[in-house]
Amino acid sequence: MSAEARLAAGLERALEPVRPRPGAWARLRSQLEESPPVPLWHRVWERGISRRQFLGGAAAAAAAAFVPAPSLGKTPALPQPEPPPPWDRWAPPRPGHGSIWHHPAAGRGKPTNLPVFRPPAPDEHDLYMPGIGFRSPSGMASRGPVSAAAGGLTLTVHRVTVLNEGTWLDVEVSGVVPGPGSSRGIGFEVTLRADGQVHAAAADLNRSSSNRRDDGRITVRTVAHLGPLRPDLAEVEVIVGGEQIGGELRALVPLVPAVEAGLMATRLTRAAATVGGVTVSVPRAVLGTDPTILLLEVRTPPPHGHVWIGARIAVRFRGEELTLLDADGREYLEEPTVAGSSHDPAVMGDVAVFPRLPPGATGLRLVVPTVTVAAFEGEAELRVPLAGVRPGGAVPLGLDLAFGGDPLRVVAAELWELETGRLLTLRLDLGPRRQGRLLLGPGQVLVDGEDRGFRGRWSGLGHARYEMIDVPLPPETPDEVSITLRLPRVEILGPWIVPLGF
Amino acid sequence: MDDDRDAVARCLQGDEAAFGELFRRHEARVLRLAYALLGDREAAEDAKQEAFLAAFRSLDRMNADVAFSSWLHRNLVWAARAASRRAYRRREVTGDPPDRDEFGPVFEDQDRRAALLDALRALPAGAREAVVLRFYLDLPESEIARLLDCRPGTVKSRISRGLRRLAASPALAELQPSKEARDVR
Repeated sequence: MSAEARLAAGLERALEPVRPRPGAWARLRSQLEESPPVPLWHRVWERGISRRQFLGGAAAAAAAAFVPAPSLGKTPALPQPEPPPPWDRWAPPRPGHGSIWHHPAAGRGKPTNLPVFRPPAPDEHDLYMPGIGFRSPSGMASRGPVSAAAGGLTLTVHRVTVLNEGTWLDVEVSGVVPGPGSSRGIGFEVTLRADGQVHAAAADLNRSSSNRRDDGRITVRTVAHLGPLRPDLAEVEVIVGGEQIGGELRALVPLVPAVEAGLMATRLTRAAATVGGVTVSVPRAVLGTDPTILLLEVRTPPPHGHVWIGARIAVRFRGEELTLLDADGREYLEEPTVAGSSHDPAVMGDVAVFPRLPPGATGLRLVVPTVTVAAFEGEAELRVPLAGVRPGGAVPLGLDLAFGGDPLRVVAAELWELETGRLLTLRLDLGPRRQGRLLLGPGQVLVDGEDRGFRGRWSGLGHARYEMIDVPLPPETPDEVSITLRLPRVEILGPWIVPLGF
Repeated sequence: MDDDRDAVARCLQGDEAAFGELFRRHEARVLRLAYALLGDREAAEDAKQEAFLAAFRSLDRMNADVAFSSWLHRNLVWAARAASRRAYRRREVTGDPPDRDEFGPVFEDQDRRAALLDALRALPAGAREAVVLRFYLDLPESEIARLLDCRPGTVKSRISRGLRRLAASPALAELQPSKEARDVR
């Protein structure tokens, strides 16, 4: 017998008398139930979502379980009316509060400017242009950012892409001093000079964003689009101007063949997952590069609507990020992207950006926690009596309405007189999550049939669920106004787990 | 083991009985492994619990190609390391001598058993882990390397160093390769 075999036999003999104490399984089971219970955890294990995502979902599920549907239950007592923030300019939000302005849709009352879903045709979008999206590989593009500064402002042209299907410019201006009306967005005009001709570009509002520095100055970024240009241009001049910029900023941008400036994509035709009739697919991906890019598409059953991933367009809060999991259980979190800059307007989809994956990362699965739908169908209408109501006064309503299949309660209305005119504030009770659905609020509000824009406000961090909506009223306030809530925004709980096949 | 795979699948579907089945199937061996690594009954029980807890909680991340026992052993090694660090700190504070516990029935070969376990306890932690995993669990070096997150060459050298030290212990002189065995080689 070798020394090794003797040692093995000796260890076996020495350890054999070590016997488990009775009751060990009961102790372990009680520990499993305490922190946190395995019978709940398994439900997320098999779906592949992370502990963090599970906790968020579990909290929502617990809330839904304790409040019976469809009744909304009793609404807590109303707080004292509090004047709303200014309507025409940005004001620092109260800590833990948030708000979103919804600008009037073109067509005065009809959501005619909503993007329309168009799935990509075969053989399209084989190149990913950072800042622009997935495009065909033919044409010219700039390699990287080009900057020019003047008068305290800096113009940065992140990307110019001149392709057969059109021309895109990803442009940023920093150092802008906000003026009146800045709450409605800082606009600027983008033109492009090529071959001695000047072409106007149309900014895409869905892909525009702004950030405010501590000194109050604003950085604005937008993607502008114009028709196709000569596909072999070697240089273009980007010109940005407008009232709030107070002059012109110019930058000369050299161009190279697009394949040298972009990232080649891979087609993943079978990567899809369906939960509750909603399908999330990943038709294109850029893998093995820094960063990793996934093109996402979401398809919903009728009624169709504006669809996006996460709770807010272009912004995913902490805990809502998408996750990539590999076969070894490693988790890669989505990297935050500037609102709009990573969105591809060619499809009703989204682009997710992840860090470079290590070489051994295989068996990749994408986990999408939530999808939000603003359905084109489903309206709720109410009439608010304002006769005799003075500014600062409140009208208790307690109206229970059906809004796109979900219950909604309009608790009260408040009338306010601001410098910019009269404002009506509606206090809403949107209820808890029900059967995986969470009503977030309306996407459009009409006053007597007219879209004048509105602002949604909420307290607490995380979800943008509108507890209050502010609607500007016409100059001559009638005794009663008709309010129509449209585009019910509903967050649908997944997760969708998409096997990428890599 | 196919039975384990089946039980793991049932665990992931929420079958609580399957957790109990996996626990009972592996508990005794895991406890002995923990005892060999820690040399302390209470610490071994704790490490065993920690290892099962960690293994069950992360079951969804277990690679389908990996055996449940390997997943469990890996968690046990980590739990034992944590327990060793805690015990080391405790001893630093109290100055207590290392535990010499009593367990099981009186054993006719008790002296030899105690000598072997004492010699194991005297090994550096890395060598002790490698020796126990190799000669108690009979794992190949490549598997041990995966469990310990190191290269197979490191495992080989740790085992070699551990064996030399064990053989140098007077109580375990018989572990020296026999003359016949050396001649055969």
